[in-house]
Amino acid sequence: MRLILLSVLTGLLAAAFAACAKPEPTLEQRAQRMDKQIICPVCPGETLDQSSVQIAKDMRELIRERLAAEQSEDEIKQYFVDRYGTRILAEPPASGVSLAVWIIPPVVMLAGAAALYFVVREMRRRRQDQGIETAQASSDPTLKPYLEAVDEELRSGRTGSG
Amino acid sequence: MADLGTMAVLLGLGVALYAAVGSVAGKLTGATELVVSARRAAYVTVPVALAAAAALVTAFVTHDFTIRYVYAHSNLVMDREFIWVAFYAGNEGSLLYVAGVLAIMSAIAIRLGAGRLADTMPYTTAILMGILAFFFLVIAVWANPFAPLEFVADDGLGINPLLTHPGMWIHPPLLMAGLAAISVPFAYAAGALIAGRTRDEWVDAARVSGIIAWGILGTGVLIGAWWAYTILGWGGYWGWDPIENVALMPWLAMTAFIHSIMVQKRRGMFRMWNIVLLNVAFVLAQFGMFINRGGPVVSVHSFAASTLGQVFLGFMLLSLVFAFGVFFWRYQWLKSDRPVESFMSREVAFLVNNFLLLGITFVTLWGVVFPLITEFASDGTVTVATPYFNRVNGPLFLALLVLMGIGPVMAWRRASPRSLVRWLLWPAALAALAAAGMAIAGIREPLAIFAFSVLVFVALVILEEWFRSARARASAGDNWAIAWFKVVAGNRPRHGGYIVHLSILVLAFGVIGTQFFDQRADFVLPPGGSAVIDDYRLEYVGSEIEERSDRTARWANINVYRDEERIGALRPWYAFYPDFRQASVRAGIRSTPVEDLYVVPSEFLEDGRLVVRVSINPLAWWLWIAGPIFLVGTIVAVWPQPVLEVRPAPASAIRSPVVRSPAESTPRANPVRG
Repeated sequence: MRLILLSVLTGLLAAAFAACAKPEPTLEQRAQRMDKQIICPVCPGETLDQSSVQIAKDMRELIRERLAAEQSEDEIKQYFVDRYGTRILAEPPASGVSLAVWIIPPVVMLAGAAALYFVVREMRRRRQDQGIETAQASSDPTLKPYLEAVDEELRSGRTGSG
Repeated sequence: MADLGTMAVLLGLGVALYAAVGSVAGKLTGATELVVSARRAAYVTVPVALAAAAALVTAFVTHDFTIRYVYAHSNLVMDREFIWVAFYAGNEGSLLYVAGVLAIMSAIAIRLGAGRLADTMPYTTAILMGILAFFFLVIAVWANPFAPLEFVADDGLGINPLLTHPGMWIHPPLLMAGLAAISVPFAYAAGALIAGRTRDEWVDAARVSGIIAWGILGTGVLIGAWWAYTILGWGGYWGWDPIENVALMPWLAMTAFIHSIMVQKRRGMFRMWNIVLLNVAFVLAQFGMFINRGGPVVSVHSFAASTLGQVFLGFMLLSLVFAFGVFFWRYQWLKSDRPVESFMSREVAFLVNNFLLLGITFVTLWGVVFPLITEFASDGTVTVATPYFNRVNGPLFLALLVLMGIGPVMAWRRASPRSLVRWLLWPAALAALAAAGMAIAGIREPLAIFAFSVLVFVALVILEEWFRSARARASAGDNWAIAWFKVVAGNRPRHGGYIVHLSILVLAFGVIGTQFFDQRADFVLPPGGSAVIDDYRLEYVGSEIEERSDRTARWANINVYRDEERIGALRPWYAFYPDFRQASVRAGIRSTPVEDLYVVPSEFLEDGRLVVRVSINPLAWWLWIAGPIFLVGTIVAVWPQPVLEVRPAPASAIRSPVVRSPAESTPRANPVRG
């Protein structure tokens, strides 16, 4: 019964995601997306989307004009980079020195995940060396229902465990 | 008044130093009187700091423009109620405020620790007083708010217009208090380590004070977001700005700590790790102080320009060396003798939680410092702004939300897959159903649908647990509401935590809504003209003008129609402060649970037309609902539990369900493990 429920729901979920394949964005949607990727040159840290000063407004208009003239998003970005330098981009480009800003976080996260895995595995192994009986006890099939009952009780918080 | 204030600061410095040195010297030589005297000295710093603060307030109230700080941050026409804000509008006053808060918190911490932690308190006192002495020293030498003005002035410069907002009464004080408060759990833990109490004696004190610091900081961040939303006029609430990031980072590290400390409290595990987390949070708090005091814009140039920045950088490095020095000194003693038993356990769930939170902290730190590195390394500078943080941290936050649903139903030690399925099947099924519903309803953002359904999933897991526990009680005769209250009251750390989790879900609901579905448009409207956005029509009626001595304020009167029915009026304003050459806006916001209509006047043109930027921010309302829920949950989690106080059980008590092996039950006797 649970398996059926699970498979029906998985199917439903898959259908949902298939159904919501994104439609082609409108010009204005593309423009608003670009507004969020370019920094306002006179207000540090604010994107065009956030800024309400005149120059940001002009730049927003320029983006819309150029998109309407069928320039690509990359061409428009390049135009701003040529005029103001790389710092006009809200995200550093994934090239040159600033490649590091993109590479380092995943590398550190992967290293951290690996460290976490090995530390926990090491701790488990140490435990198995120490307490063979414990391991046997918990894998003893006759004890299983009791252990589960205990786990259940612990987890439900009735014993004050939390 | 100025002399009185300066004297109080110097006195505070002396007393704090005496308390710091005296308590350690007394402890080492066994001179109990000296320890007691040092402790009392620590209490004395409170009235001394308050006297200095009172002197500054008096100077503000009496418009004493012979004092430079009063001259720079107030004037005759400013509203009285903003004196509290002017107090910390600059470095000098902020530091005095921090010193005052630190003195009060230290005194409370020292008083409450005097009983159970009597052995370690001299060191804790010394650490807290050392930090306080540092602040008094900085105030006395580099940032004296009582320094005289070099010339005679009839009126002051006034207060920065961006600060004249109710949010400013609470946001900066809470942030600064939160950063300062992290010193308390740190001092409890480090004091215990120095004293050689390396087991779990400090855990309860550090946990409660840690949650309080974390709650203060979190509330401060949320109110800051609200302030930004209403006054900065960009329709956003969080910009991943360096100043925001340095408050977020210690908060994230503390979030990791208050989760992980539960493992030590319950199971006596992760001792080293918890110290590391506290150290990281403490050093990040000092980093926050440094960035905040070093100058508003993070740049190598502003560091060089500010002596204060260098002083705080030095203090941060000192904190780093001290915190980890103590840690490595006591490293051997901190080993936990109880290992993790299974990957499928709550212990590991907490570790993964810590891993993700520290990952987000790291990415944020990396985004803050990377532009500085490139500034040194190459001539071209780069910007690391919102899109970067959203792209890199977004998935990590989402993973954290998923874990928030699974972790709490994981059993300690070893979770059985069957029980997990039993708990998670229905919430997962209903979340999938909700996803399908959203797709059918026409939402066309797969990522947003996924994120929303994760929220549904986590909320249902929490409600399911409440439902099952309350049902058990309700069957005993209580009505449901009382049953639920009893469940929550029965295990406050756990259920307070759930309430906080719900507040995070509510917050995430608002964040997802605004991130994925916001709309913006610019309009130039003549009086009588209309702008259409989505299904709203905005009619610009006209403007009003008010001249004040410090500003020219203009209101735009705007009628809001939906389906040609008038649903309200907005009066956003735009004020120009000539003295500051700065404009301040107050957005007109029509807020509903579904979406906010958000109108910012960017300019009133000469010919009477209005330049206006209109946004629709779906679900923004929920962002501010999260705050009170967060606060309630935090208070529940730290509220002392009168009945059935749950203490860390002795090593042998918790593992009782499983038959113990002789080797395992005597690990502490093993000399190798120390």
